[in-house]
This record gives sequence, C-alpha cells and structure tokens, in this order.
Amino acid sequence: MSADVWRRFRARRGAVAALYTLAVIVALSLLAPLIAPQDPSDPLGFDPLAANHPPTLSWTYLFGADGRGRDVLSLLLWGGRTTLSIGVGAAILAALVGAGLGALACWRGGVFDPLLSRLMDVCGAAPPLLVLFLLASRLGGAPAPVMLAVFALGGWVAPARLTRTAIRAGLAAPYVEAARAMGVTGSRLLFVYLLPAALPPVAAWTAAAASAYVALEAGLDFLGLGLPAGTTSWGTALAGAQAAVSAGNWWWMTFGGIALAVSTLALAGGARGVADALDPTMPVMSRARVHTAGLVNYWIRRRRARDAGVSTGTAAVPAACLHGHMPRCAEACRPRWCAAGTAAVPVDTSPDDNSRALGHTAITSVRDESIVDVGGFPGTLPAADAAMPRLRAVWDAPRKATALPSDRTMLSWRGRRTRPIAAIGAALLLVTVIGVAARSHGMSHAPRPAALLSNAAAYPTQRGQQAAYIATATYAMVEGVDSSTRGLPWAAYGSCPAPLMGKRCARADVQLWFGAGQGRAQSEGSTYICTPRLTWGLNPMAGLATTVRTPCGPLGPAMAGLGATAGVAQRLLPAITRGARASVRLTGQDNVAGRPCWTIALSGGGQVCVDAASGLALRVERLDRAGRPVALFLVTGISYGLDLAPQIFANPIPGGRGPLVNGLSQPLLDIQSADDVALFTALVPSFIPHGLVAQTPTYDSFYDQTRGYAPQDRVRQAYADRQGRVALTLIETLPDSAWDVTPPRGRAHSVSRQGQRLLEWARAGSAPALVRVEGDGTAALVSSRTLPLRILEQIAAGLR
Amino acid sequence: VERVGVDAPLAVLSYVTRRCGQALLTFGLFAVAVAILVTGGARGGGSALDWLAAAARLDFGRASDNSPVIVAIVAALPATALLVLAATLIGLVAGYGGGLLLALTDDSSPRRHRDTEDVSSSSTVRAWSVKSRSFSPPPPPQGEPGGMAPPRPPPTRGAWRSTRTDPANNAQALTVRERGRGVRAFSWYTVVRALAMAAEYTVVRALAMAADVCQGVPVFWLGGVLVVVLSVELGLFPPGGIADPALPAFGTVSYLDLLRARPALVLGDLLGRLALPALTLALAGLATRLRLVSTALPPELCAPYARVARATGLSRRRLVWRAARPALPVIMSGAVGNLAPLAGAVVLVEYLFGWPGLGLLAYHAARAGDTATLGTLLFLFGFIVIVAGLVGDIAAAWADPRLRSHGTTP
Repeated sequence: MSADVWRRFRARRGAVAALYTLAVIVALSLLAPLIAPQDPSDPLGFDPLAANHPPTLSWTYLFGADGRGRDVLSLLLWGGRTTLSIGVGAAILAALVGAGLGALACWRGGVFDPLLSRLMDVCGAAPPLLVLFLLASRLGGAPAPVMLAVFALGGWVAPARLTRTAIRAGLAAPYVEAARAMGVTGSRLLFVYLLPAALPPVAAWTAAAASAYVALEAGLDFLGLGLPAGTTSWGTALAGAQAAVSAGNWWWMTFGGIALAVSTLALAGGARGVADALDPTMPVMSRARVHTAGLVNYWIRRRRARDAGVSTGTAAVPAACLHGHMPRCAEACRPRWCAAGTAAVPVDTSPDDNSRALGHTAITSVRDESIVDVGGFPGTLPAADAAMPRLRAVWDAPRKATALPSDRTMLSWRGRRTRPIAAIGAALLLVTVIGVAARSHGMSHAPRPAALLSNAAAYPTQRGQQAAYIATATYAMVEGVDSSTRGLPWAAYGSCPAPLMGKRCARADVQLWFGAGQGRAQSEGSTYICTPRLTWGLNPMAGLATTVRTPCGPLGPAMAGLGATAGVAQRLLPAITRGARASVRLTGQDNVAGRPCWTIALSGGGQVCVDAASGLALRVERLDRAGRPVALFLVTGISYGLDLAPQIFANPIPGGRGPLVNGLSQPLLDIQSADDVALFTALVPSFIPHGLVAQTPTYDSFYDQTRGYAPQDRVRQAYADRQGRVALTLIETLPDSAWDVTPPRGRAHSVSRQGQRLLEWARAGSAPALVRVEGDGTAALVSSRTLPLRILEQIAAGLR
Repeated sequence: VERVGVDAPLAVLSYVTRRCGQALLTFGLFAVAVAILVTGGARGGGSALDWLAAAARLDFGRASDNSPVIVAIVAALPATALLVLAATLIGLVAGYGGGLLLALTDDSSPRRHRDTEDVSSSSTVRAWSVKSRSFSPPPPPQGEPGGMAPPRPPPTRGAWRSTRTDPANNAQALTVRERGRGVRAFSWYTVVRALAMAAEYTVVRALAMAADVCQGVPVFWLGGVLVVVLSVELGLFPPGGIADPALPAFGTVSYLDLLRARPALVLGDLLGRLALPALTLALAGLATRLRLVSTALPPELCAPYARVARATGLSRRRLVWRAARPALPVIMSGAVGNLAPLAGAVVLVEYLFGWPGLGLLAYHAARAGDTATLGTLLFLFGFIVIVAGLVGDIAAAWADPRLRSHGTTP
C-alpha cells in the first residue's frame, strides 16, 4: 500500500515539488546552528550598528539586516525551527487527539457520541486566536507549549469529525461486514479495517492545518502577542517589517514573507498531494502531466534515435493500439517504435521483475493520446522479438495483479527519480559548506562580547563601550525576565495612540541603542515605533535624509526616547517584586527629578531608578565595582507634562499628531533632538569630534529643509521650540576614550542647584560628567569633573 | 412521483427542535468554558458563576480603562460587520462564480467525459459511481476501423504550451462530439471553440492557482503586499483607517450628520478604504470556497436527474444553476466551518489596516491585558459561530428534501 501511495504521490508534480521544498526548508532550519551567520537569540551575537543593512553578497547580510541589526538570513534559519515545530507539532497533535477521540466516539458510541459532539461544537466555536489572546493576558504570554496546546485544542475537531465519518461509513461498508463475518472483532476491526479508511482525510487535514498553524503562529508573533520577546520565529522576524517597507527597507519583509509563504504553500501543496495520493479513486496522474511526459519522451526518443543514426520519423504509436491488446499493437507497429527502442537501448533492468519493468513503461490509454512512448523505456527492447513476450507479460500481469486504479495512466521515471534529491542534497551540502566556511573565516560580522568590549580606544567614536555593555547587560537581563511582564510596560500609555490609529504601528522586541558614548536598551515590546529607522544612533548605514520623512514618524522617537529605559525597567518590575530573579533586587528609594523612585539593582552592576508612580525608569546607571556610577541614563519626563497619563499621547484634534500641549499639537519630531548626542553637541560643541557630527543621523534627523541650521543652532532651535519641554537624558563620559573630556581633577563643581536635588554621586575617583537638563528649562545641573566651568555656566544661562 | 409524507412539517419541526436543543447545550457549555477562562477558575467574588450571571444581564464588566466593555464592543461592531459583509460579498461572488467556472473547466470533472465518451460510444451507458467518484471505466474499444490514428505532428514550441493547457483534448473532444452528431471532423468553428476553451481553461486555472497562493500565504503578509502594491505604489487606495482624518471620526454623530449631508463624499471615502481590507479578507478564504464549489458541483452535474434534464432540453448553463442548488448544503456548511479561522484573519486584517473593529479591539485588549474585553469578544464570537452553525444546519436540512420526506438528515 505504502509503495503505491508513494508512487501516486510522486506522480503529482506539484506535490513532489512541495515535498522537496519542505525538505529543503526543514533541512536548512535544522542546519541553522551550523550555517547561520549569527545567532539572533544571543544579544551579543549581532551588530546593532548594522541595522537596516541592505542585502549584499556577503554571507552575513545576504538578505540584509533588520532594524536591530540582526541578519535576516539568520533570523529565518533560526526562526524556521520555532515556527515549523509549533505549526507541524500542533497539527500532528490535533490529528492524533482528534482521530483518537473520533474513533472512540464512534466505536464506543453510547454516551460518548453526543458528549463528544457537544465538545466538538464547543471547541470548534472558539477561534484559537482569541483564546490565545485571553490565555496570554491571563498567563502573561504565550510560550510555545501553550500556543501548541491551544492550536491543538481548537484543531482536533476537524480530524475527529473526519474520523467519525469515515468509521461510520466503514461500519456500513461491505468489506467490514465481510470482516465481521470472518470473525474479526474488537480492536482489530477498528485498527485494521476501520481506521485506515480515515487516514487519507486526516493526513490531508494535518498537512493543511500545519500550513494554517504556521501562518497563524506567524500572525500572532507579527501582532506582538505571540511567543515571548526574544524568541526567534518567522513571525517575530516579520514584526516591524511593515513599517520598514514604507521606509524603503524592503528586504526584511520580502525575504521573511517569502520564507513564510513558501513554507505554507509547500505544506498546503503537500496536503493536496497526500490527499490525492491516499485517495484510491483519484487518477494516478494528471492529464497535463501525461501530455508533458509524452512530449518529453517524444523528444528524448527522437534525439536518441538521431544520435544512433536511426531515422524514426514521428515514431508515434497509434492510439488505438493501446486500448486494445498490447501484443496486437506490438505487431502492428513494431517497425516504428522498435526502431526507436533499439536506438535507445542501454539494458539494465532485470527482466523477471514485472513491477520494475512496468516501472519503466510509459503506458497510457488516454484515448486521444497519439504519442505514447511505448518504446521509451530504455533497455527493454534490445531485440524486439525477444522483448515481446516479456512486454506481453508485463502488460497482462499488472492489470490483474495490482489492479491499476484506473485505465488512464501509469508512468514513472525510475531513472529520473533520484536526481532532484541528489540535486537538493548537493545544494544543501554546498550551502552548509559555504556557511561553515564563512563562519569559520570570520566573514560573519557578529561581534562577540570580547570584541565588543575590547579595543576601547577605537570604540568611542562609534559606540559607547561601557554603555554598550550596560545596554547589552540590561537587554540580556530583560530577555531573561519572565514573559509575564509582556503587555505591561505601556499600560500607562494605553494602546496605539489615537493619531496613529490609521497608521501601522509596528513593534519589535528589545532594541539596543548605541548613541555616541552611550548605549541604551529600549523595550520595543512596549513601544510603538513608528519611525522606519529603528536606530538612528550612529548608524552610518541609515539613510540620513529618509529617516524622518515618513507619515508616522513623529511619535516614534518620542515614545522611544521616553520608553527607552522605561520599558526596560517596567518589564523588570514584576520580576523584582516577585523575587523571581536573585540578580535583580529592590535596594531602596531615591528621588529623581523630584519624583520618588525605587532603586533597583541589576545584576552586572547596574542600577535603575524607577518612578514609583508610573513605573517608568527615570535613571539607569551603570556602577563600577565600588558602586560608583560610571555611566548614566537619565530620563526626566516631567517636561512632557509627563504625569504619564495616557491622554497626553491621544490627540483629539482631527488629523492632529503628537501630544496636545497647551491646546496645540506638538510635533514630536523635534523631540528627537533631545537625543543625547545632539544635546551634547549643543552643550559642549568644542568637545565634539568632527566626524561624529557628520555621521550622526540623529543630528540629521531634525534637519530643517527650509532653514538648514548649523548643528548647534538646530539643537538650540529645537530646544527653544520645545520651550524647555524637552525631556532629557544624559551625557556620560567614558573613561579612556576619545570622548573623555575630563579636565584636571579638582575643578569640577556643580554650577547651580536651582532648587533641584543634585545627584551626588560624582565622587572623587570616578570621572562621570553629568549634564542634567530639567525639562522646565529652569535648571541645568551639571555635576562634573569634565567640563570647564565657563561652559557649564553658559549652558546654565542658556537653559534658563 | 413519490408523494411527500404528510408528517413532513412535523419531521422538520422535530429536527429543528432537536438541533436547537443541541445548540443551546453547546452554548451553555461554551459560556461556562469562557467564564472559566476569564475568571481563571477563581472562587468567591470573581468566580465563573458570577461572570455567567453578569453575562446573562449583558454586563460584561469593565475594560481596563474602566469603561463598560459592552460599549466598546457595540461601538466597534459596525466596522467589523461592514468589513466582514464586504469580504463575504466579494468571496461569494468570486468563489461561487469561480467555482462554477472551475467545475466546468476541470479536467477531472465528469462533464468532459460525458461529452466525449457518451456521445461517441453510444452503445455503452456509463454510470457515475458514488463510491469511486468516477464513471465506471469505459470498455476497451474493439479497435477502430482505421486501426491507426493519424500521427501527431511534431510539436512546436506553441504546441508544447498549448498541450500543457490541454486544448488538444478539447479539440479532440469536440471533434468526437461533432462526429457523433454527423458533422464532419474539421471546421473552423471547431478550432475557434477549441481555442476559446483552451483560453478559458488557462485563465481559470491561473486564477485558481492565484487563489491557492493567496490562501497559502499568511494573511498579514498578503495584506502587506496588497498595501504596498495597490496603495503605496499605485496609489489606488488609502492604506488604512476607516475614515479620512479630515472627516469626523467614524460612527460619531457628526460623521452620521455628514453622511446625511454629503453621502457621496462619505460613502466614497468609506468604500475606498473598505476595499483593501475586504479584498484581503476575501482572498484569504477564496481558495477553500472555490474548491468547495468546484468539488460539490460535478457529482450533481452528472447525477441522473441532470442527465434527464439535459436530455429534455435544459441548457447547460441552466443546468449548472439548477445543479448548484442541491450542492448548496455542502457549500453552506463549508462556509460555516470557516468562521473560526475567519476570526483570526479579521484580527490580523484589522490590525494591519487600522480598521477600528472588533479585531482591533481584541488586539488592543490583548495588548493591555484586558481580560474582560477579550472574554466578552470570545463569548460573542462563540455565540455567533454556534448560531451560524444552527442556522446553517437548519437551512441545509430545509434545502434537503430527504428531511421533508423521511424526517432524517444525511
């Protein structure tokens, strides 16, 4: 039976193609650790500076990089494992459960049957997506097992119905009656006689459902409500891609979508193939294929004949011959096709094996078919007379023995069958070799931790070393946090802001920002990023001009800037309060920007001050071993009127964008100017390396087309436009770096206190420079050993 | 003619009652399941029983922003209804029409067998076998007088292509049929007909394949591609939202006022914005519908009654419409069975297009961890599915004369 099924399956071109495609995809996914240039789940495994890297002919960025700098190829290779295993696993689980329960209901009958019917109705009425939403919000996330279980829970209904129908039909069928008469009862009757009848529809359903589940899983991830953040799947790989497309970064969406689409299509095509192959009433071969095969054979035969110097003419076999008896046909038209046959000839098959000989025979009885390649089976006709009896035997035997299901066609390609597999195998091998070689030769651009932290001298102009570390550490920690924190962070902001309703708000997970001299961890899982460029730190790859000219640009930076540390810390909060991780602990209280905060110590020597009211992180510090801060992030949201009420981001003015402040829509675009580098540029222009300014898209991102300010003017302008409403941020220094603007020790003093609480941690021995700009514009606080007093005073005056 | 039993109304009534009872039971179980899901099996104040009792009073609790859930749902309902309605409309027209075409041009459908074989070999009567889903195999012809068919001309490139799309069979079929009618083999009419059939075949195949692809592809990606192509590149449709930002918000009083004042403007805007999401939603389920129709039809088309009808002079097109009626229950039950997957598609499509309906509501609720809203949506949707199943079953039974005559359903 199985050989027959396989033959029928093989006879369908589409199904075979689907199978091969699927095999390739699965093999590539399995090979991911070997060939993928990066490991996307490793926070240090990819290079954030390569965000939105376009596709190039390097192995690492063959498909480009996504908005976080992760190589799309790696994402797809690794993501395939998750997505496919969930989809296929759920389908198989559902099929098993469904078939079992359906058989039970039908077999046991009695009270089972109506009970199960109701159960099926109930389970069938609940859409898995909504159930998953509900469970995710209750359980705080939908990890893979939950997702699999929910899919199976909703999916078992269909196979159960199919099984029940099949068994019920089987119970009335004559062959089952015959079996019963022979004394077959009990489980043997069920498993041997009844259940096999249910196999075709259930198998077909399984493959089709796997396709649907793969798509559904990807959809959930795409919505950001699927697998926990940090899991690599095709859906998470696509999240945020929509927005990227509108910025011209097509590759991310395209390749991810193609991978997803090809695999779902392959699964669906395989499903149809399986269904057709398992259904004995279907013809073995589609008619189109017969034609193609006939023509191919025709061409091959002609060519062979020509090679052999035999002129064969058209070498067609009369259709009528085939409908009648083969021998008669053979006699009638021997001269023609024997000529072709003898021209073909390598003898290789064993003559006594009927089925094998048949396997070489192209026989069709399609009535209209006039070209039939009877002679096209190579090797069976070395001498026509000797071959004839065998051909006759072949022709007679299988019609009786194997009872060809229909009189239409039987054709197989014994000689060709191995070729696609060999080709695919070779291709896989090649890909593996290339991938392994590329990885081992350092062609992959993934920075390793050591590389990330070493070479400090070269770093600062590109990224902040310590800050990079802190960001990475925070990121790693957040990723490790229980996924129950999902959905929490932006509860304070409500859902997608009203002005953006019509736009597409995308989401990604956690993002690292590497500004000049600083790194920042940002939880996109809780942020609506509307800027297509998700990084605009020091990314030379990011097109400068296109960065902000997108319809939904405004809110992104603002939310991002605010949410940078906020999301992180808020995601941390539950873990802290539950004491889930020993590495995160509440250490005390503090007061940042006049707001009471909780101080939370992070593992790896960091510290976060979290606003007690909103849960937003107002300050993130990196501490050295002595507990002194060496890098600082400060988010003072006060100037936004940031009592963190949701409505500030909801703009009631039709068409209005941005938060409503003083009755006016505030274009949030310029808030980007509050980005650290820019502000630093504005504040301490003399300390900014030249090249840095030029390569900072931040700086370019508030480029004004009409006015075109000079760098610091732009910043100041932007600042003045905000009228002090910019909430800011941080400046930090990096010891031993080109950014180190440390003046001689002992000169550093605070400039003004202005009624604000100074941050007192600038102690001797450490060299942080802290510029703290209060949003209301009244106070600039600098606690620094790094800036000349004069500049600090200027700053303070300017800000006042 | 068999007389329909007198107890037909009674049988129908009994069936409907039974089915309603089942649906009621299902609904009860479903409600309990939802209540347990929502309340998490808690005891005391927020227990499942309390939730059920509140739900019975249509009080589904309050959302996370402390507004009653039911208000948000009612506010979001029209948008979703509009979307689903439009998608269903597109799907029905495309699916049903396409399915008919597909059934008529399907090379495995029995129509061609009937045309070619029944006419040519008039001595044999072939029966449609329900079990094997095919005609009984034709007896081997006893050799035609000529003995040899004319050899096929060597294929050219064009011939290759057209052979793949099977016009040769069509041409031959026509030839045979014309011959059976006493018309000589070749005529230009035959060629033109064959070409037309080949073209039709090709186009329909291609469309069916496109529908297959559209369904196979994840819906959000399909939507994204549609947006990029139709909206961003070609600028045919606005990319998202339900109303132009210049207009008042959808569903508000001022919106309705404007609708009354300037219906062309508002409706045009609405339809333009509706087109893409509805198209996406319809395409996502089109292939199933096509296959449903195209597989449900052929057996009806070669049922004995159809042959009789054809013999008595009913045109084929008319026959198709007639034959479609008995196939209706199958098609309808298929449509009802597709409801649950539709919900997922609706959520994705609404999210993608910023369509402020139930799907977007569910998305935001899930984002905010708003269990009350999600539970209510689940409850509402289950209710719709169960009711639709009930209605579909009853309608199918109503369409099935066996119920009226025997009081049983298949």
